[in-house]
Amino acid sequence: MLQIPDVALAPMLPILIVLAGAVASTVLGFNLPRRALTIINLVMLVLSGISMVTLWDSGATAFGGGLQADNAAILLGLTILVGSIMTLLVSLDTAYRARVSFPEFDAMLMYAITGTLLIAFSGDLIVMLIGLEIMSLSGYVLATLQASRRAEESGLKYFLLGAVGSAILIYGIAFVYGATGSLTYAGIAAKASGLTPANVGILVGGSLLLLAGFGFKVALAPFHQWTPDVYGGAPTSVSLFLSTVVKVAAFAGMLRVFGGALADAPGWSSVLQILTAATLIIGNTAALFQRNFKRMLAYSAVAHTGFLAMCLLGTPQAGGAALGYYLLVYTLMTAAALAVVAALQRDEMGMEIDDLRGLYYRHPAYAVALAVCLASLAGLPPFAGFFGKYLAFQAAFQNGYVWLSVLAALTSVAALIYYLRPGMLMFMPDRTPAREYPHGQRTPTNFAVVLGVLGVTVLGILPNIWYGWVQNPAIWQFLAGR
Amino acid sequence: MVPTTYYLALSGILFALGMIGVLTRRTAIMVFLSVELMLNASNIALVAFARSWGDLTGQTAVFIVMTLAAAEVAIGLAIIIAIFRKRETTNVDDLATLKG
Repeated sequence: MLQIPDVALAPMLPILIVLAGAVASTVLGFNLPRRALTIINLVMLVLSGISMVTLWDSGATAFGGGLQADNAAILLGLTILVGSIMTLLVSLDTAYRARVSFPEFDAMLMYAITGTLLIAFSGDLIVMLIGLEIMSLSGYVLATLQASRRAEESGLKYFLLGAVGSAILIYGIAFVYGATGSLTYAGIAAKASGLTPANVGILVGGSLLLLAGFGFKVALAPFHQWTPDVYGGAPTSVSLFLSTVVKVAAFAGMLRVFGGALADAPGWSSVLQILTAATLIIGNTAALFQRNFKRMLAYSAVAHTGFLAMCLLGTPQAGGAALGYYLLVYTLMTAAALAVVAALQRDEMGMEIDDLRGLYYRHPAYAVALAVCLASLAGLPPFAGFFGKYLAFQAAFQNGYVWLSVLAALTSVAALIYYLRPGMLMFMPDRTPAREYPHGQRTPTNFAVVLGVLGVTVLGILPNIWYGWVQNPAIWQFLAGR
Repeated sequence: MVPTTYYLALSGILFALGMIGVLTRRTAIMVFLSVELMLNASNIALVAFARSWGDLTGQTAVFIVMTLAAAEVAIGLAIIIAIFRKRETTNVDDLATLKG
């Protein structure tokens, strides 16, 4: 008797709408100009967000738990959509200057977003893997798409290291399956305690391989070397996408796998704390020595990976809430900072930090916006970055990682130096001619910048607007599904 | 019946060979082929574990991994060709414009 699979359309709808946008860009790209496609895709992303909101509290699943639209998935999915919308807005203005303004750019972007949503909604290691690969493969293309030596080099580096990361991750999946006999998160979580000693060994090996594979995707310390080259070499709107949306999605996968399926498995947390410490030290130290602003932001993204990974070391309830809050704030502030870079840069190399001198007297609004983003990235109190860091420290501290919290506090003091230096330079008077692109101020980019700056300020003063939604521990208790 | 350990040993050796290839080879194509070796190592492990559990899920997962590998080949070779057209080399040591 053939069993009919449990196909429910409602929980898939947010993903299907984005996929429809991707297919539409692929097909309509022959007839429509890219600008029209981008506007269609923006509408699709908003529709997908609305369909996610209607799924709130429904706890719907499809494919026998392979896809779960629980509240955790919806919160992470909305964060992904915010980053994607900001990317599309910025690309409306800057893709033309970066010579990537053709329909394939939009199609690849939308396919990548489909993959990221699939990771957030996954209930199964294989579904997660498919999402991760859709995201990564589209990301390799996006990084290479600009026909310049720098972009191609960054694309090849991203591809080779990303492919190695995926291969290690898949080997990890095979071992976790070998230890537990299950590929669904719920099945793994149910069998992770009470294994025979031989199987515990296999499970520890598998979870460490998974950790290494994810380490490549989120740029944890020994696996972070590609990050500055790729974020620095790719067009700025692509760097914006890779450093926000792709990172959020990879963290969503880590939260699902390590906070849900492997929450009770031994071994991985002690390795993760060492990787986190190394990431904090390397990311923050290397950022101190950068002369290029875009490259400095890439190292700042590595440093923030360390702060975000601290959330995973907390209990799933506290850590999930901290990660849910921090990921949105991180998306807003990083995307807004890179949007300003995209608007002001002369070419896709970004700007040198010294070129920011006197920016306030030439572009006062952008200078203030950039200063707000940098202050928030540094974790200065009135802005949301402070509360995000506080939650991350708290999650790790409460779960017994005292030394790591102390180290993180120390490195964030070091981070003040490299965030505040460009911040101060911008407000110093300068008589030399401007080194920015003069016609960069356009409405869509400005809208993205305003969204980011307003979000960071409002969430910093009234954190409960978002934290009130993510703090409910019941959301993060059943990351593996029930 | 061949014990599962033998298959795992084979897959471990393949994975290690792939890893060594990734770390030592200097041509993009060879690095890429080594990655394919690592993917096939995971396929062997998945099939071996599926057999020892008497469960078909692992075997279906292999089909998906094979598809992913094929997609990766398509994109990877395209990127490598784009690089080769411009530089007449795919040696990864020559790709050193981005530094710091």
